[in-house]
Amino acid sequence: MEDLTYYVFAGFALIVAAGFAIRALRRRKLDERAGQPPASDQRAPTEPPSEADESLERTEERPSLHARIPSVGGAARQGQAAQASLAVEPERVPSLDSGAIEPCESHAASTEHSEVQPSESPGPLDVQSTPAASALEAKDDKSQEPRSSVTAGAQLREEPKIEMVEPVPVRDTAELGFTQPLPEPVVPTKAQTEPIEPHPIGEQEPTRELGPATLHTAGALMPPPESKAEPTPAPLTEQGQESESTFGNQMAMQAGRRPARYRPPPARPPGPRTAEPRETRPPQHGLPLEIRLQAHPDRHDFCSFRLLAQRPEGSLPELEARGSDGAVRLIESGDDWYEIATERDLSAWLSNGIVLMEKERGEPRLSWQLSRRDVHVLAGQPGAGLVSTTRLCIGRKHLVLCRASRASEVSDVLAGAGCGSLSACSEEFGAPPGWVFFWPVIPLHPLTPTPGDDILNVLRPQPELELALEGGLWLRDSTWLAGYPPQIRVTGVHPLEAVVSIDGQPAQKTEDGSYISPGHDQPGDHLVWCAGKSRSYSLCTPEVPRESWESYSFPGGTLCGASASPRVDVTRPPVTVPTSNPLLIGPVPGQVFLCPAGVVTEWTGFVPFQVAWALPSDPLHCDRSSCHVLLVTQVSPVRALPPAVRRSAIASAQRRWCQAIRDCRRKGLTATPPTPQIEALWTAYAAQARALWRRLK
Amino acid sequence: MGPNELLFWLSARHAGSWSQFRSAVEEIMENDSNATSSPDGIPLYQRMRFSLQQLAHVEFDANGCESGWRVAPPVLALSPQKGCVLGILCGARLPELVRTLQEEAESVRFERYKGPEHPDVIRFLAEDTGILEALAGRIGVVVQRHASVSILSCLPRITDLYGWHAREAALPFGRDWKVSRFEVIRRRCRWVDSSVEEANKTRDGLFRFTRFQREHYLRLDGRTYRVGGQIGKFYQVVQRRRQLLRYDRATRQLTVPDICRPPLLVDRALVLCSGFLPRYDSAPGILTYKEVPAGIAGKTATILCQEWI
Repeated sequence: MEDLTYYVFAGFALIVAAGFAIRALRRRKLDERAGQPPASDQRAPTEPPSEADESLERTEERPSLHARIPSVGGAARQGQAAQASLAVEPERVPSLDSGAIEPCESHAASTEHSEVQPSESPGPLDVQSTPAASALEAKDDKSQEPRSSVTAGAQLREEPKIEMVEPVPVRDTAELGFTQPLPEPVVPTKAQTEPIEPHPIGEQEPTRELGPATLHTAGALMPPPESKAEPTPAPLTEQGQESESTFGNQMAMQAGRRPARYRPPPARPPGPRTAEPRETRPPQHGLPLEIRLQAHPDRHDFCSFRLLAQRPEGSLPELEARGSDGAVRLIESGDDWYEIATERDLSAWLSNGIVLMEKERGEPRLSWQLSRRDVHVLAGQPGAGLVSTTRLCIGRKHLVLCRASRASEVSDVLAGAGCGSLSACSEEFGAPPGWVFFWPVIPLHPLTPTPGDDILNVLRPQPELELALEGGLWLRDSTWLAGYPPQIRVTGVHPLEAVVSIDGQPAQKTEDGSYISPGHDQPGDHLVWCAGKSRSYSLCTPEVPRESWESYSFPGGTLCGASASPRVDVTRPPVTVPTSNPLLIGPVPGQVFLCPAGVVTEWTGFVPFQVAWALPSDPLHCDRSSCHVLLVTQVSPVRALPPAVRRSAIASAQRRWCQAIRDCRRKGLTATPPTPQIEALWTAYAAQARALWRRLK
Repeated sequence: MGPNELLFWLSARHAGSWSQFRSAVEEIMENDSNATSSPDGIPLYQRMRFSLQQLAHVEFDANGCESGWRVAPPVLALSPQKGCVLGILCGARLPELVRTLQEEAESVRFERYKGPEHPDVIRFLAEDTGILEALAGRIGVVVQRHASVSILSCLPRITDLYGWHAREAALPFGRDWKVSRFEVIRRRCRWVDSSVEEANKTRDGLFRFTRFQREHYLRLDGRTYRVGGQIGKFYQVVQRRRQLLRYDRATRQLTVPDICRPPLLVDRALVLCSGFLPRYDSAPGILTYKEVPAGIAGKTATILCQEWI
């Protein structure tokens, strides 16, 4: 009866406590919504725990592990798991703020109902990471679920009997398999008393000698790299299950299971990723870069060869590299390649291979490598021309360069691949000394490669089907200029039943072997498909540049292409006069322009005024029979007054204007063309000059 | 594909590096059957570069495209001819633009000339400047009136070295250089082998240093100036009082020895008189510019300081 009364009383007390907890929970939610720190955070660590707190944590999936501090202590080491149970005296919970772990007592089996430490209790440093919690995370094999960071409280809450937890009876230690636990104060080790320094999340902290698991500031329990804890039998409950002991984590570790790593909830809700600007890839260092052979056959069957070195993105346009036989210069050739500028014998490099090292002090440096081989296969690539490739492909045009000593073997293999009878082109066609090349090589049949590492296997095409885009005016990536689309070819063995389609329409094969379909050459995006393989290309119509710039700048003006902007007045058309009459005058007194001297027949140029007459430069000393006054524009003279200041530039120009006309009149030069109208105009100019001259005196 | 496609490609890319241009020439004109082999071993990409510059399509290594190339905007360069006005399509060109031009040019005479190593010369002939200006306005192309005169009006005389952006520099040194000296003998000019030592000792002369590229250095009173090759040549010619230009008024042709080709922009002005590149006669080594008006020839002579032609 007393027991019944006791249980009723205890149950009533729990219900009352739960009521308080619910109120606290509501208040906390309101505080959180208001952006204020929850009131419970200000609660004393000694405040009794409540189930409501646990449910909150569960709903929020907070990784709080409720600071089951006793588990950190020596109780675990002493094998008191069975007694630890769920009972912790809140008052004895040590604070880890100072980094010290105070001894606490574990009252095994003395607690009559479960008491759970509230998550808010630890204070500023939310000590959520304890081995016990980790044990709870990893306790159950079935609990190895994504939400492995479930709190101890949550684990406890899952027990419906939390209100009426049966005290775990102490069983005989012999049954439990370990020594009898003693409720002794836990003496922390040195490592445990050391302050816990913050550690970046996601970065493994150096292992502390805390036991099988170490604390992580983010609440995660990081197992040591090599846990050498002695295996200890797991404490069992009466039901034969593992107890929800605070030492469960240790048990889990001993059982060989690793607690799942804590992953904090995202600070922000995942949203659409914004496209970040593409950073320039730094030059690749370490591994040698590629050296490829490039060929340029011309229409006379002559072929020139050169070597291209791979150019990392962001590298300099020109480099100096050092090889075994001296320095060479690498000059940019396109966006992705350097040309190896050298006058050395290419055959030696092809025969022996080459390793180039960037000729710069310091590390890291770029290096390039071309391994020696007897056969080189070259095929066309957009933007690079004929460059080294891996092997022959059926239906593609190749150039094969090989040692002269292996020319017959190569010729045989190529003939077997359906390339026809090809003649080897030697040095007189541009091949490096000791080498020959075959061009053009278009294999038609696949060949079975011979076992081993026969270099001639690269000449035995395989039947893989490939979609190739060749020719056209390639601009960049998979974009071609509209009007100049690529030729679509299918290389390899083409299954009979496979249909080539372009933009979903069946394509037709032309005489040259390429495929076309209606609209395949129209601007836009296109997709080629055949036998499960696809390839896309785009045809674009770019805008021509409209912006002019000063490509050349001179004192006299600027130029850009055919556009010119002279600094002289170009609003009037240029004047062309014979060089015998270089002195140009306008209708306004003072408008005088002298063409550059020493020019022969004619001169053309811009004059800053409207030219009326072209006069000889020295009328008084010219031949009257051959020299004339030349009319340029029929315009009447403008009457002008002399300036107030006699020695001004205007007055000087006016004097010169008058002097030139009066000298021509004095010499008796006739106006040309000799018409009465022109002569009258000339007379008017002479009268104007005479009148102004008198005023200028 | 040939030079037209090359110009299309350049116009679509707008600008790029020299190596890109070189690769494009080698790839696009790889199988061009019209491309001729150079008599003096000048590679095709260099010849293409020069023709594109002469025809005012592309600028190379100029302001705004240092160590590279950049396509000039499309311009209809007008030049007065006998009884008509000539318009030459220069600058960037795309197939669409050419097609539109051809369709719109109904009221004018449309001429298209193919060349082995230059894009097609597209000429329009009209009686009046206004007709060509209206045509250019319809297709959105800028008009440059009196193109040749305008270009020549911007240029200083050849003796104005600073005007031509010559700058004082030190002579290169080292053994890897191949040095040549420009020699003017009567009416002949030629390059003769020389050395770095001779260049240092000479007070007046033009030297060409070749390693991977050519550099020209003009020695004047013991001082060294780095100049353009053609500027230096004509400066030497002027100093020796040699007359190289010849102008035939009847045929309206201007001739010049090929070794003393005029500077690029003078060359461009002369080419824009007709739209045709100068004809090269290998036997006498003469370049002939056609349809050059007397006034343009005279202005050219003025710039090149040629006292009589």
